[in-house]
Amino acid sequence: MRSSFASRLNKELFFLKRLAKSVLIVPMLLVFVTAASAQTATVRGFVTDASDGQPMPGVNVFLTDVDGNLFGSASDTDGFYGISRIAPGTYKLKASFIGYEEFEKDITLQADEFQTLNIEMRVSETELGEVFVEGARETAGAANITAGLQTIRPADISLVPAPDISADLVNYLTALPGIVSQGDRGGQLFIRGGEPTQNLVLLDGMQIFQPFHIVGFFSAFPSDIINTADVYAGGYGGKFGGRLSSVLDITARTGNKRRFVGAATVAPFVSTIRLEGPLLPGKISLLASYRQSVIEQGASKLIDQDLPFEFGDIFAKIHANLGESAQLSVTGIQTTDNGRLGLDPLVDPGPDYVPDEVNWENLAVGGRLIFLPATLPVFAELLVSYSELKNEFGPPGDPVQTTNATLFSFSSNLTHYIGTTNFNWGIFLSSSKLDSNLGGIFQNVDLNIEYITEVGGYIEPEFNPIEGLTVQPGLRLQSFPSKGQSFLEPRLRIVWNTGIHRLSMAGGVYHQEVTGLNDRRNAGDIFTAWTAAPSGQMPEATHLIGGYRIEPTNWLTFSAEGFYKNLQNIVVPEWTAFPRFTTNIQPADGHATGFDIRMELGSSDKFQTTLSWGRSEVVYGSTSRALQILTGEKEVEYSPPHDRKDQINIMTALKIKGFNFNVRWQFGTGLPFNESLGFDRWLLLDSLVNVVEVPGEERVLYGKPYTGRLPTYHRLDISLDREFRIGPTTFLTIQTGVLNAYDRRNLFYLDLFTLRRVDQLPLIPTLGIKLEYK
Amino acid sequence: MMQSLSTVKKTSAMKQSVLLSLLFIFGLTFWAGCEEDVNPFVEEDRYFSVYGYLDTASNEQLVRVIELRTEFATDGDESIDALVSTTEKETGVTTVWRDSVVTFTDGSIGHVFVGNFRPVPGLHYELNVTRSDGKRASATTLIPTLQSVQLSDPVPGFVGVTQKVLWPQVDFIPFRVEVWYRTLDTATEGLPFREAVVIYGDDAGRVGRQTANGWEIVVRYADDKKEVGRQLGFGEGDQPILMSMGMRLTHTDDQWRPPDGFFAPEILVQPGTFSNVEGGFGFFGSLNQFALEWTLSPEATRIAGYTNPGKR
Repeated sequence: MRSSFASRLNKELFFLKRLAKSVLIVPMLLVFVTAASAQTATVRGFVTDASDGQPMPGVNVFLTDVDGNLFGSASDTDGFYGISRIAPGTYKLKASFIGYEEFEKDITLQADEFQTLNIEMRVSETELGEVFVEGARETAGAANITAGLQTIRPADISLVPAPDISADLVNYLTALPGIVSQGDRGGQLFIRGGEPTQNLVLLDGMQIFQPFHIVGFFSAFPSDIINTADVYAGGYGGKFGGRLSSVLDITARTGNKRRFVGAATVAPFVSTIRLEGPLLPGKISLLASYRQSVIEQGASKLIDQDLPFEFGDIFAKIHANLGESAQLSVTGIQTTDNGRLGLDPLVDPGPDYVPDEVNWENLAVGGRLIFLPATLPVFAELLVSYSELKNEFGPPGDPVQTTNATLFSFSSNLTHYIGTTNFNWGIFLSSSKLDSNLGGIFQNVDLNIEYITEVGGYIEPEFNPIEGLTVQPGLRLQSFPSKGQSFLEPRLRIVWNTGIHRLSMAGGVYHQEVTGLNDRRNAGDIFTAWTAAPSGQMPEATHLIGGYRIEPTNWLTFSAEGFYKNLQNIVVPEWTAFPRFTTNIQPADGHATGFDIRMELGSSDKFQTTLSWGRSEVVYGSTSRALQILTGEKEVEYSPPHDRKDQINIMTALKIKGFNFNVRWQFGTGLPFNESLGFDRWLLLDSLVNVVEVPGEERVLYGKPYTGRLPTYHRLDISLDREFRIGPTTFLTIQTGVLNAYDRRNLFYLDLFTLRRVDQLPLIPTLGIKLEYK
Repeated sequence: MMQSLSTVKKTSAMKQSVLLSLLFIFGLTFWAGCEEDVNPFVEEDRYFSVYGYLDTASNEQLVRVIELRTEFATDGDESIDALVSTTEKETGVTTVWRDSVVTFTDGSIGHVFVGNFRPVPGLHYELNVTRSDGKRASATTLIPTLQSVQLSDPVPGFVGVTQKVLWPQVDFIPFRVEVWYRTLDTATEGLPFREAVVIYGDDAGRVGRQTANGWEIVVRYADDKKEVGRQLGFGEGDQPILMSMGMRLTHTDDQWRPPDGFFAPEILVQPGTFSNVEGGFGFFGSLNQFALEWTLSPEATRIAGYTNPGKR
């Protein structure tokens, strides 16, 4: 036993050494390349808002030499900008952003100098500056999608009517084509054919296992704490891995470094408190937010209907400027959810009936250090985080299914600025502990406590060979020492901006070892067991995305994007004609294909309309023996329960005399479900069975899986709000609205045994109040 | 001028058709979107599930009939709208079965129909279950027949005498294999012949195995003698007089073969994976008993632990 352990340890150490060697080659090469770029200079720094000290992404920073030549860069999510390989000399540095005064400074750069120049932008007293509007437009807008990547900013989120006066990221996500939600309850998002457990959700680099609350209007991230959210619907780069379908990379705001501000809201679903301010003025800030659902006291009474859901989240972030060239942040988040979603068909819903409940709790804590080495044109990021999920399902107080997943993660990401090339590379190490009890739901799965170590690295240079063209090939090495398995994942991203046109494509290969098991046969059970890939074969996906965007005027943007995802070695629950919630899991392959078309009209904050249409087809192929026998086919193809063929979203935001009027209409074709011929009793005639004595077992007369389609889903949400100034820096916002305005009976859950249905939320009037100290 | 007017008309017609198309699409979407109810049941020409078989060893045939329903887990109904009959295809003789209402141990009520006849090997029987509106489920079975059986010579060996019996037409595991031993008990007045029946189970592979030539069953006399002694009350050292012995094999018709050769409940529960019922689900089969009787040589009888009747 001991020798076996020692041998495994030796194997892992050998593996790690080999990996370390290959990864260390990259920085050595880069130092060499950097040295070769001597006799030039670099200017870099962070752009912040002078009013609150927060980083400003999307600011255009330009150097102009005496001959009028321009060298430029746009600040990233951290407000970081860097312009390298500049000839020594005197330049005029300008930074501009819509609504802010232009920053201007003369600088002199010496040979081999790495000059750090932090920029503070001040809000313009007059209205808009007319220059460099492009920077702001680059990072927002529903039609602004580039090879699967869409950046969302709080301003985007606020366009969507929501039951809470503080908008939530999830409402915006569900308005995007290609993202299918379970609806008002459950908190499950399917992105371009992928399952919720195939989405990687990061908050300041920390993984959040279950990022959405049980009520579908809310994520774990109130928009007030969000700086930007990058949604990669596929084709993501080498920095990300470990998930098959998509990445949601959220960066939280930093707190106000100048003064204390805050807000409190009350609405029928949730109440919120936010507080932020300087712990050390100008240096260290705190941002904290607390939300707690008030459904029982609010929405439930408004519609006189039992809404058995409770959730909450608490978030805090401390951000510190460690001198001119380094920043440190520590972020923590905890979420809790509890509720009852489905019905047990095998239990008579009498007066004493207590339905099963699901609850989960996320906890994540992480630190992030970003710094600019004094002698290298490098942006470096170090991330350390701990994430945990506890999920339970079953009778209240006595859950039969439990899962406890923990993840410790370390990663380092570096970008070398070498002229027009940005050389990105990084290394990562993570260790997971997965402990699940399935309560017998999957009879052929025997879960033990799993320890999974994952190490690897990536390189992803970003070439800009001609103006407007960015080519970003990447390679990610993902290794599992305990299993002796390694995977090389190629990635590619190409973006070509030419005039008003933008062409883009992305693709890659992805693997996912830490897998979530769900029973999708039962919409009322959203319990997810996290475990190592149970089929023994690593789930794998291949993505290919191609897109086109045109912006003929500054008030019209049109984009179209096609995608293909191939899924291998995934596991799905086997359906059984036995009326029970236990079954086997089976391996399956699948693919998702489709396209999105988006159009955005209006560019000012007075009027904006977005229309989108997403069409997709998700197909799984099953080799279940029963289906093979039934159909005579080797592989039986079917549409899984999240295959929504068409989605249409129309959103309009109108601002008149200080009133914000927001409307959203969503339409989705019906989701697949299992039709049946009815029920009978089944006797197994495997011997001299006496049919007088054997009662037989109740059976559902299923045919091929998921042949039926539920009714279409559509809903109209409207909201109207206005902000009133009630003091020099105190504001009161009142919001009113109506969700599901024409009271559509959208189906959430149909119990095929008893025909009992659970509908999504009916018409709900909302009224919210927000008191804000700015 | 005429051309220009025509162009105007064409443009106007085009606009109209675009408008009409848009209205049609909008109307279709609106119409499709209005549907709120969902019917999870599909209609198919299937009406009953049937479970049972014809048994040549019985004068009373039984078949369970279940109406397909859209209500889940009902306890069953006292009445059933079904008329059950069988027709002997070769002769045209039809037998109408009678309904009997059975209350099972789980409290549910079911309908087991009884047919009073003994099926004839080699004939086809069509079972019809007909609703009052004429809707019907049916299934046909051919009663299996035996053509030949081969008995090998007994072989003495380390574990005693063994003897192979080969059933060339049997291509699937028999539902029942019995070996009987007929002994002579001179001490019992009036009942000199006493029989012990040893049932060969599947657990130790005694039920036999499929070979290229048919189904082969090995009689292991030493093993059987323990059971014979237990049933007839002989001691371990006793050597009862063995008059004769035989093997009876209960075999199913050719359709009674599960996919892959196994009765795997998780697979067979899926409707349609193992069914010969048209207009419904379930299975209707038939059974026959094949028998072979033989005697052992005096030497083999002795080695097998018995006394040959000729040496009394």
